[in-house]
Amino acid sequence: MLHQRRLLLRGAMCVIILSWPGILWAHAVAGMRVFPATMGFDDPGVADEAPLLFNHIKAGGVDQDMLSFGVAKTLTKSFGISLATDYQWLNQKDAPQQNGWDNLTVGAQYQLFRNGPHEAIGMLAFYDAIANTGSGGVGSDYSTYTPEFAWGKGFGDLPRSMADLRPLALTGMVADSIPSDPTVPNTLNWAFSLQYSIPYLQDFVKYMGIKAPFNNMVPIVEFPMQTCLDRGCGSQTTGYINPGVIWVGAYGQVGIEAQIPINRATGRHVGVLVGVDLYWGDLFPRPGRPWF
Amino acid sequence: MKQGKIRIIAWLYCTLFFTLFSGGAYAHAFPVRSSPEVGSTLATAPKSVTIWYDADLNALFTKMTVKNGADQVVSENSRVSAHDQRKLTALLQPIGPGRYMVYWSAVASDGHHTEGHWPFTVK
Repeated sequence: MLHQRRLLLRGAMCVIILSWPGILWAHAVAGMRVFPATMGFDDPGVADEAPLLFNHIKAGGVDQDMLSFGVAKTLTKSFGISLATDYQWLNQKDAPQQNGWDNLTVGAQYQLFRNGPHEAIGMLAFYDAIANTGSGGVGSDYSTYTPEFAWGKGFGDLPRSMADLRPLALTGMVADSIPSDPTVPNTLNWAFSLQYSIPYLQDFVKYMGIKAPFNNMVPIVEFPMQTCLDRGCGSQTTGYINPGVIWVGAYGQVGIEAQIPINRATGRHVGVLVGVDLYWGDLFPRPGRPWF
Repeated sequence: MKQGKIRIIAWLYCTLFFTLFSGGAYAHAFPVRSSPEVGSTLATAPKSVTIWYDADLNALFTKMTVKNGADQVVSENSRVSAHDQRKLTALLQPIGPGRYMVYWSAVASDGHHTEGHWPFTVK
């Protein structure tokens, strides 16, 4: 099992190293703004992509490693579907290791709006984590239904006097996870990110002479949060502050973020997120085109 | 079996990611550099503006326009180079001191459209 984790981490590092001499771009685009896929929460773009995310965190005395992957496909320019799951390794002192697949999640996404001049984008989505599709005690025996709204706003329309701030962008998401089991609490998932795009700075504001690989980087801080809503959970909010960086290329992106718990209820240890997202709509333009 | 599946998936991503940076470009076209440089201030007026992209361009649908501070067009003959499908150039009419804006609209060879604008200044 340790060998397996090392193998996966080597795979992620392989991705990072090989990405350095690469060329540029593309994902959710609004005007001149490219919104990279955030790693802690859903991004506001309907696109053809295949994310792979590795996460290590320790909370509540449990060491958790998780490998998440999925695939999303556009059916029309504004509508897409997705499939995702994850495999988890759970280690707790004085207890046998628990491994298994989480429930399979199917989803549908609709691009609600896209405004190029104001670099604004919004998406509605609905997800269903299907009961009893996991294994090893990781997946649940109930389904979870999640309606979601995700949005993004670039600052490219700031006045010239604030041009240095134009590479900034905000994205956010709010979603309500509703379990089919009436004894399990509903959870409000909410998140936002603040990002500064070096490609945007050099392509649309001022060329600074920043060379590869830094010229493709987007420093970012993500704030993924959860608030337990009912059934005796006391409206507890847990979450993380995730500072990191995402490297955006022509056919995908690579990112790494620390996960800093916001309170003791979340945990006491800093975790790590490493993610790859393939823009397979750019990698394979013909099958990547909308089907209708 | 589960470990084998995960290993295959991890290395598949690694291989695909290596592939996507070693091959040709069929993606959204974005600039990699330009002359004059974005946001630059020049002592003498340039005779043309050139932008190099990271993907091959569709010459029929890709164009560039340069405007002065009065929103008047000061460019002409915008074209993708016959020898370099990633190079877009527009010639400039004689221009004087002032702030100018370059507007570009690119269609990559796979049909993806991108656009943008950036300033330069002549002292």
